[in-house]
Amino acid sequence: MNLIVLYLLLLKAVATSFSGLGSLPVIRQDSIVNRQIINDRQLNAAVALGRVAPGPAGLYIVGVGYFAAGVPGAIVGLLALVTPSLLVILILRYLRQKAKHPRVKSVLQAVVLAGAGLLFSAIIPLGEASINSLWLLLLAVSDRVEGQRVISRCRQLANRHHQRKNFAHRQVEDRNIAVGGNLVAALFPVVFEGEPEFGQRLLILKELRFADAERAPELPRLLARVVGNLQHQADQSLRTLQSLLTLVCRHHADKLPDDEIREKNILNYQSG
Amino acid sequence: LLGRAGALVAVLSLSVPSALIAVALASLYGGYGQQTMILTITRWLLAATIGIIVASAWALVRPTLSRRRWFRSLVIVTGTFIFNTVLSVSPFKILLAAAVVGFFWLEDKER
Repeated sequence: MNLIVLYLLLLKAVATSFSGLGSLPVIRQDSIVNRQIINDRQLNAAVALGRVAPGPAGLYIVGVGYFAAGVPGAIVGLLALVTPSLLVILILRYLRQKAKHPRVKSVLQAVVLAGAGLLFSAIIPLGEASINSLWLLLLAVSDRVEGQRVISRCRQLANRHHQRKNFAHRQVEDRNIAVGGNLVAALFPVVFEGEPEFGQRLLILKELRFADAERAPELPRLLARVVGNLQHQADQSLRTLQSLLTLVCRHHADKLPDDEIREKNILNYQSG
Repeated sequence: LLGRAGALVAVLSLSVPSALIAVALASLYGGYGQQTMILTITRWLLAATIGIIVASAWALVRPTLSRRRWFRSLVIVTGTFIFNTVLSVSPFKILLAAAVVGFFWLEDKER
């Protein structure tokens, strides 16, 4: 990650916010949605850790910089954080005179209100990740919970999410391939929690929404990639869930007539 | 007390020690972030942070609701939420649009 670009991205977010966490929506848009330099989990951690450390509320910018580019990124984050403050010192006299003008006051207030609206909208992905992961974690670490219940809970969460997104379940058939929406639905919360690339999740949703006979074979490959990524990330507490997903994928792979897809994409994952 | 130099020192002394602590925490998270306990703690911290974000947003909105300009505030906040969440318009564009709205739509008492 180019440090100058990172600095400009963070500076843009800090300079357009009027409270500590007001830069959060812009950071998320630029760093996760547009450029994928960090993922949702890292942003969540940066925000949470930023609140633990003493100091300004916008301190999470330093954590974002660290997760994006290590210690140099953290230094860049700190510079981006203090730059507007230093600039304000220099132009304070000018601002004091102009800020009394009704139109300037109105513009500033409208931007502050828009910042508040953006803060409200930034809560949604944060809260969603927190609630989903808490449920999954509790279920996955509990030895007494049967695997089927984990999948069942995943499916419930996914269905709820799909309903919010106006996702219509469709059963797509191509030759003998049956791609069930529920299979992907079961994987969806796990993808949400374990997938480093936010875009990957959106890709699957998009694939499902526009799935047709020609594009259906693409789905097993996507699923295999997602589960493959999950394998690298899952820790011991999630091994139960992971093995269940492997079983689901194996079951799905048995239905595939195309040996090449099965060999290259799904069974490769199972063999590690 | 010391003019611009004093202001510079104040900004840096406020930010640098906190940033060092934040980097140390982020580094620890990078090393141990996959452990169940750390994950759980982070989730709970995140939940608390969400509460703080709500409070911050409300603190920005509340002063404008106490006067005659509540309708203008409501339109801007609600519109921002819808444009960002439902229509996925970039926050930067929304802030620019809000500035334009603020320029042309003055508060009632200032008309």
